[in-house]
Amino acid sequence: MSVASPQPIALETRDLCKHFSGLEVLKGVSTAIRAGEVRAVIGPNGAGKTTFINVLTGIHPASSGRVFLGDADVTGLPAYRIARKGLSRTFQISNLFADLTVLENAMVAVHAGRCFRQSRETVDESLSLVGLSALADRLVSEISHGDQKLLEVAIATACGPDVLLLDEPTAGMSPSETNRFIDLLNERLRSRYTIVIVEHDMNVVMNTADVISVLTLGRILAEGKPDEIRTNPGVQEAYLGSAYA
Amino acid sequence: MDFSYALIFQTFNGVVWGLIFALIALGLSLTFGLMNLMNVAHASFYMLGAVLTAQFVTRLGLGFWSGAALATISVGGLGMVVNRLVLARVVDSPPVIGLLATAGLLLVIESSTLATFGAVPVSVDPPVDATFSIFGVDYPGYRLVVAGLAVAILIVTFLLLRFTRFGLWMRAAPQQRELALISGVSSGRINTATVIIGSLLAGVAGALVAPIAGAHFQMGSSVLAVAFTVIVVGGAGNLWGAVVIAILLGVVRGVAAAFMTPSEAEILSLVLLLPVLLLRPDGILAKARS
Amino acid sequence: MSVRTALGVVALLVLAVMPFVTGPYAVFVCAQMITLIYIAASLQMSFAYARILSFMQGTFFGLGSYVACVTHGSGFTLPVMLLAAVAASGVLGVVVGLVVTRMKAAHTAVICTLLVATIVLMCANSFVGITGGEDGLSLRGGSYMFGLAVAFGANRITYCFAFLPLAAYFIFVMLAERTTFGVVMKAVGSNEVRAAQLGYQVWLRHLAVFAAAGGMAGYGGAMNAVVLEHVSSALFDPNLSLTAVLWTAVGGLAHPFGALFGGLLVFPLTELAARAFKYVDIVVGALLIAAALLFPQGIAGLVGERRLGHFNRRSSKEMLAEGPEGRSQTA
Ligand SMILES: Nc1ncnc2c1ncn2[C@@H]1O[C@H](COP(=O)(O)OP(=O)(O)O)[C@@H](O)[C@H]1O
Ligand SMILES: [Mg+2]
Repeated sequence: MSVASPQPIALETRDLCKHFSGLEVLKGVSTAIRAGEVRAVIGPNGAGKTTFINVLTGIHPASSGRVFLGDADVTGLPAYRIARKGLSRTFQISNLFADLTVLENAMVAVHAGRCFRQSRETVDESLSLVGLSALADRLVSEISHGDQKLLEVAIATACGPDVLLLDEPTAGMSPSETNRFIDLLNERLRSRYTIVIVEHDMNVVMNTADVISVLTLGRILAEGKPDEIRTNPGVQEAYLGSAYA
Repeated sequence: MDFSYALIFQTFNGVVWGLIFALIALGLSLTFGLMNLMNVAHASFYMLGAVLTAQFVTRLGLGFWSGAALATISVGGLGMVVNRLVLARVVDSPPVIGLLATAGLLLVIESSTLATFGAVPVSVDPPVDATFSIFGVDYPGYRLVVAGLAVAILIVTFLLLRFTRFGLWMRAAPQQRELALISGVSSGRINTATVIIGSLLAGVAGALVAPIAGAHFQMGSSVLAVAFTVIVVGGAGNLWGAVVIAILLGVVRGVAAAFMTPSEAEILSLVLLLPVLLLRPDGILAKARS
Repeated sequence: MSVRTALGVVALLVLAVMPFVTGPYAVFVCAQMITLIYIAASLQMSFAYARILSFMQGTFFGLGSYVACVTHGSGFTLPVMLLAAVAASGVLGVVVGLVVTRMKAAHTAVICTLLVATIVLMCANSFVGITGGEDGLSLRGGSYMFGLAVAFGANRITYCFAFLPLAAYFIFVMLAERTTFGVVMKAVGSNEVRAAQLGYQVWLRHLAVFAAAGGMAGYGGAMNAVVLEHVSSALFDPNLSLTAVLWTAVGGLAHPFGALFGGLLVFPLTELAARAFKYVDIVVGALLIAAALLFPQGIAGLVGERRLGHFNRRSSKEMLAEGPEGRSQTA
């Protein structure tokens, strides 16, 4: 982004640590994401990417360190309060209201949202955003895996967040679904939200990210523009080397 | 003098009851930890252990020890049958299903016992008459024998789980169900073994209790909540946590019984568990989660 | 209209005309059944909307009965008796709910309710001076409702007091099913991690549901005391809660009508069985096992959302599995 004055910081972590009874998963993650930025977080399996998101959203309390959402310190707040402050996420393994229909899932999300304009239109908008309007009356358990991942995105946006955390949104999608997802992100989501996307698919990462953070073993190994990361020898060795050798 | 006598006596009682709870809770904790099944019918295994012992002794005229052994084995056999008919079919279902099915089993076993043996409580003479004098208190010898036996059974179970191949499989199964299956262990056989061991433990606890508290078709209900709470407070799936908490609970109840009526002491000991559940809902011995 | 809704409406209509077309004995049996359906309905409510399979709904019921009895003995009129019963069991619901709604694992909450039920039963049996123990206490005579005399026992007026609030609950559920309120209740009950990540204060909602379920069972208990003119410590027996679990399991845990269907089917069945056979609990237990093994989704689940020509193919295990598993985290 070539903006004259830099955007304010939308999400920041300072020395964030998380351990599960002895197992250190995050060992001091500090990063700052600017409003409007698309930040990709990449790293091998087990690096702590999902845990990073879980700590940001308050599912797991941080062991130490702080999380700021805009100017507000949200460290230690319960998950629902963090969500109400404008942080929303999708799940790596889709985690939806399985006994409700697609439309009802969106209704629940819109109702939870901070915008009080809870009209039927808001619900429809969130579904048409990801192209699921045609499936509105189907039960979630009856729709395809790829559609479930899209519904994840739909309900994460329907509650009216500022910052959107996407945990491997294209995992399990077909190549054509993945390409459509890249378009969705670039054409519709990018302009509305600050986005953190955890991804394995380098095609998605290189086509969407403004900045990439490489997370390995609970630490940020490198951070920079896609080109910098692509040519960073440390990253190639530690991440690309081990994961794609 | 009188009071300290009562205190010591009741504390001993508490330890004995604690060990009995430990046997019951260990069996329950096994089926819960290894099969992820809340076996409500476990309480009726305990009840049957006592009732069958009483019947074998009073109707068939068997000696206490042979009656108790036969009762325990019968309960183990029943456990096997029940596993085949019901438990094995619900083990991979959602927890609610297992809960419903075993609650049904509890009702069937309890009321069949009522139908067969009647509602009159049966008392059994302890096989050991002697009393032993400890700390100036004359304590019934049979209860000391029960305590010793219970400790021995707990140790044997521990060794079984620790050092046999079967024990290793049993401990591996819940964590790595798929892995255990791949490595050629039939989870069905592990479950069967788990249920049999669990029901034997409950059965022997009931058999040993018969001379102390008598036998009655509803005696299972009174230990059900206690045993379940013990395994939760001890940390779900933590076998030895359950044993420790069971013994502690018995001691608390015993000591309290020196100050109030037995039923008040029982209530108090259970009420004391409530704040524990509130403050440490995942168990007092669960590893501290950050 | 789905088959389930149609069946529900028919069931309610049958119960509504019952006292006007049958004799006193049928009114007595039905009134008693209706008060017991409160336990089953409150259990279903607690399970579906707060994810707590409560084994203490019978305890709320018993508390409601006793509170009604005691307030009547202190000279209060029927509205006060009923309100006090609801309030007392609602407060107990809040207190226990504060503990159980905090519990992460579903089984811990079940066990906690079982523990509380056991403690209350023991107290009821040991403080015989207050509770009358297993012999219990009687409610004599009648009471007043805004100047109108209401005789205790089973009659058309007490039947209405028992039936109308329950009917209102079921009708409300039916109407609210597709509204935002109904959908959100279902959602927050079924997947709390997702709900919290959207911004719902799941814990408080579950607490409110559990307390409301307690109050509901308490109302049923109060009406049971009024209809039977008697209360005893046997009301606190966990078997009563187990009976409610059975009804709800047979009827279907996932839908409120499950409690209604289960009660209407199982209660008459056990009453009939009890005439032929002394040890009716064997039948009840076998039914519970059969329900769990053969049709875990219950009647309400079997008929499901089925409309004419449209068959709902989801398996029951899927439906039930969504519950406590919703709590587990993604890897
Ligand atoms: N709730 C948890 N309890 C214990 N360990 C966990 C938990 N969640 C994640 N972990 C561990 O943290 C590590 C990182 O996991 P995760 O954040 O899911 O990695 P990634 O998403 O980068 O693949 C793994 O070793 C995993 O086992
Ligand atoms: Mg992950």
